[in-house]
Amino acid sequence: MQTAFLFREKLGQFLAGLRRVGTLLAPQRRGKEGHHAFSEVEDPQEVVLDYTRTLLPLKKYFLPPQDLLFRFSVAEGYQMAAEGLAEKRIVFGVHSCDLRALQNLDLVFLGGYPDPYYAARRENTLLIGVSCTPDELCFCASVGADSVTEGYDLFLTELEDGYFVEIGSSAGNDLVQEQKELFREVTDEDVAAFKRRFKARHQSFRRHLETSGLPRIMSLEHASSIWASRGEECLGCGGCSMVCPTCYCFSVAEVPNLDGQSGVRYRQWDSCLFKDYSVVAGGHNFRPQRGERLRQRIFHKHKDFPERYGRSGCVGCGRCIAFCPAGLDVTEIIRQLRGEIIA
Amino acid sequence: MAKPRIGIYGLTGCAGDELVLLNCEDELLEIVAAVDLKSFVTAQSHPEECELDVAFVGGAVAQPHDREVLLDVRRRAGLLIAIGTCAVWGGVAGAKNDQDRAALKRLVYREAGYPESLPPQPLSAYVQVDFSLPGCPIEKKQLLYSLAALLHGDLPQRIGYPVCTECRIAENVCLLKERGLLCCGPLTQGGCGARCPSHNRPCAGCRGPVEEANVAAEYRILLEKGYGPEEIVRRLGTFARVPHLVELMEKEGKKHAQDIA
Amino acid sequence: MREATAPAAAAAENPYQPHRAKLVKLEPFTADTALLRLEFLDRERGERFTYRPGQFIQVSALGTGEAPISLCSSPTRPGYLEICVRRVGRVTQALHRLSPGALVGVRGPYGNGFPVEKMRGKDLLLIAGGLGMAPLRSLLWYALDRRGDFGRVTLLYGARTPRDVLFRGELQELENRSDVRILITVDRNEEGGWPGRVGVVTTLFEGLEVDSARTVAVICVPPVAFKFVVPKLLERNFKGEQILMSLERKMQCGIGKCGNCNVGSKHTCLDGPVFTYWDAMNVPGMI
Repeated sequence: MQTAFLFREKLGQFLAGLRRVGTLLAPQRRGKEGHHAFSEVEDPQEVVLDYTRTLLPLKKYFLPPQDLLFRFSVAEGYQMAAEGLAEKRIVFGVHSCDLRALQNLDLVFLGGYPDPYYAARRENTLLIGVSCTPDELCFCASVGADSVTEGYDLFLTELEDGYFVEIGSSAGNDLVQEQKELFREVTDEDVAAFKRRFKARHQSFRRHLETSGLPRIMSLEHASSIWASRGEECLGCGGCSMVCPTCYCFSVAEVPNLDGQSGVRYRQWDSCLFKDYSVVAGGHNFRPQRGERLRQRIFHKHKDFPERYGRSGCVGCGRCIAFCPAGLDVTEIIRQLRGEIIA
Repeated sequence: MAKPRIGIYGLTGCAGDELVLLNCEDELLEIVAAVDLKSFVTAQSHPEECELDVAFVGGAVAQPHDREVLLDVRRRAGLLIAIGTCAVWGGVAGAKNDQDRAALKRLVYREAGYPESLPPQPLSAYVQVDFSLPGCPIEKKQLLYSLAALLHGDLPQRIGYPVCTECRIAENVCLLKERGLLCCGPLTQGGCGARCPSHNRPCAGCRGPVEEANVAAEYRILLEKGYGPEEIVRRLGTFARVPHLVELMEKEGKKHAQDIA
Repeated sequence: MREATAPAAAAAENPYQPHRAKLVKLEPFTADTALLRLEFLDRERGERFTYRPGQFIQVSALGTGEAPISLCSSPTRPGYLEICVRRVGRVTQALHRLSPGALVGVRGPYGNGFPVEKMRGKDLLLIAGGLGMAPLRSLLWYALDRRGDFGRVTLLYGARTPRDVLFRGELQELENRSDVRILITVDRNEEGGWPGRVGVVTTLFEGLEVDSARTVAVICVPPVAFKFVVPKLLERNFKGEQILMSLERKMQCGIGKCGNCNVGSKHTCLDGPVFTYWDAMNVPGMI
């Protein structure tokens, strides 16, 4: 593995340099009391490295909440809307759970029939990861998302006087080489410090999700009354899907112009929690109850996605717990399913 | 193809929804060119009351005259679109529909009297409504989309998600969960882009309930945050006092009282 | 025209791209259902377009949107595509407003379709209810056009009323053929004038001779009807793998991305819409 060490006091300079490569996106605070959110960096001083979780994950840059697909006109039919797809971007400060989640989206959007909108954005975006400290909601270690060995161009682990940089790609290496005066070679002491930090972080997880045999247990609990009772608590707002880094469902909308001759077709984030999600023309709803829809979401993360793609559909980022207005907690629901706690 | 004949009407209300249309300044010429505007008394001097392809009706039915106008428009219109929360849900004017009408009239009008008043109701209480555009006022973007869809020959697409959905996308702080404010977002039909929460104001519910709003769960959450039953019902019902939703809250309130006891 | 600024990957093939096709015929079947015949404007695309019975296409009505619709034509009759469209949603209503000569968007074909290679040499028992006749019409013509490849071919078809019988003319003609059994029933015959059977589709099983050991049953009925039809087959010793079902689900993309048609770990658009009864037994919520 290629490594380097970035001096702490050189970070701002490094970020400024990145802005010359492309649009720099990084976690910043929204307002004085707002959440952290990925947004375009104007001033490197505003970039926050010790954030816990952004409200929206990385997917907003690859699968935007509203994504223009086509313009149409009677004369020319549907024409692909391709502008913006070639924009060079660097996302700085991504946690391993979010990097891991992006790999899940890759499986869906780059596999089978590759999605050209997603593929182009992915191709033109560099990712720079950063180490993090779990809070009481994080359970990424339970689903194998606490550490990634691929899927980034650079990954920075904060040590006392700077950042231990793992170089994950040739493009990442270029970023280091272009500003090599900001880096030095990694020493044995750095490696020792890296290992100490890694161990300390691993021991700091307070939340755990037992995943052994989970798909099988869920299968057996498909008809459980837990779904209906938890469904009564769910507000059906779909907020969990919006903030989830691995939720990718979308609906497609057609918006004509007033001339009746032209318009646009775009897609927008959808959620299996919405009543309309499974309604076919004519009105039949395949999941009429809120509990069935909540079950769909949790099944997809912990049974259906793993069965289809061979890896967890959840990265343990804790967002769905942190932002659910009804206070629903997936780790608690799964413990209930396992019979570890009584509702 | 002949241009669709359009009529725009206002019953009891503030005419704010009609103003939203007039405020579409960049699009007005295009709209006027695309339709055959027969009647729009707010903006036009010589209305022609004839057969219509589409009628837009704002305001609540709060007087016998409103009812007459509405029934007449319904008879003449191919499609009837309710615009604004008053027309869709009864609006603020209907917030006191649980109280005695005669007593309310005495309280407001004293001895002057105002005999011709009905409990304010949405259009759907009297006629079939083909599509509803809620909002106080309606959203310009949605109005333009709906107009375009209708001109194209389609009913517009409904919005089936609440304000929360757009509030999450806007990356706002959750005023309900994180600030403990009485926010109607989870129950209120989306489409406004979480206008109020994006300015740090809790959602007042001005767009009326989203389909399948989980009123009981929201009510319970608010009780747990220390709000009183009356305040919750009043706030959640300010723009749309929907009897069966109020009933759900009262039922939940009783359940909660038993749980505590 | 604008220049696309996307990189090569995006410019190559956009799977969401609707291709223009001309509506060459619109034949009303019933008050709300019509047969639409489509031909790609790009003749070469039309020639390249191969499919199997049971697959579907995504049809765009410009300005209204897109909907997944089963092909009811057979690949044994190339040159055009046919879909049977019931006016139930926004897109299907818009399609009904079109006149011959109008352009629509088409992409596909999608889905697995019926496993016709595996069905070769077998007897076919097709069970259709309502609009479910559309995909089975594709399979029926496929089997009849390759008559030697299949054993006995039987169609059981139930419609609501005589007015709702789809493909009535061509099915009546087939009734005269000796190499296919066509049994049609209507739920209600209140207006009279229906000479055939009255009763739900399952009544057609009465007295029906079927050699289940050598038969593949194919069910395409409204969602609520599966639970009535499947037991009729189980009674006759059909095994889970011998029962094929074509399912309906909401779809946006048709290519396994949008999630709307997920049932368990299956995507109806990619892994279906044809599933076996064994699949359904193992995936709760499938039927």
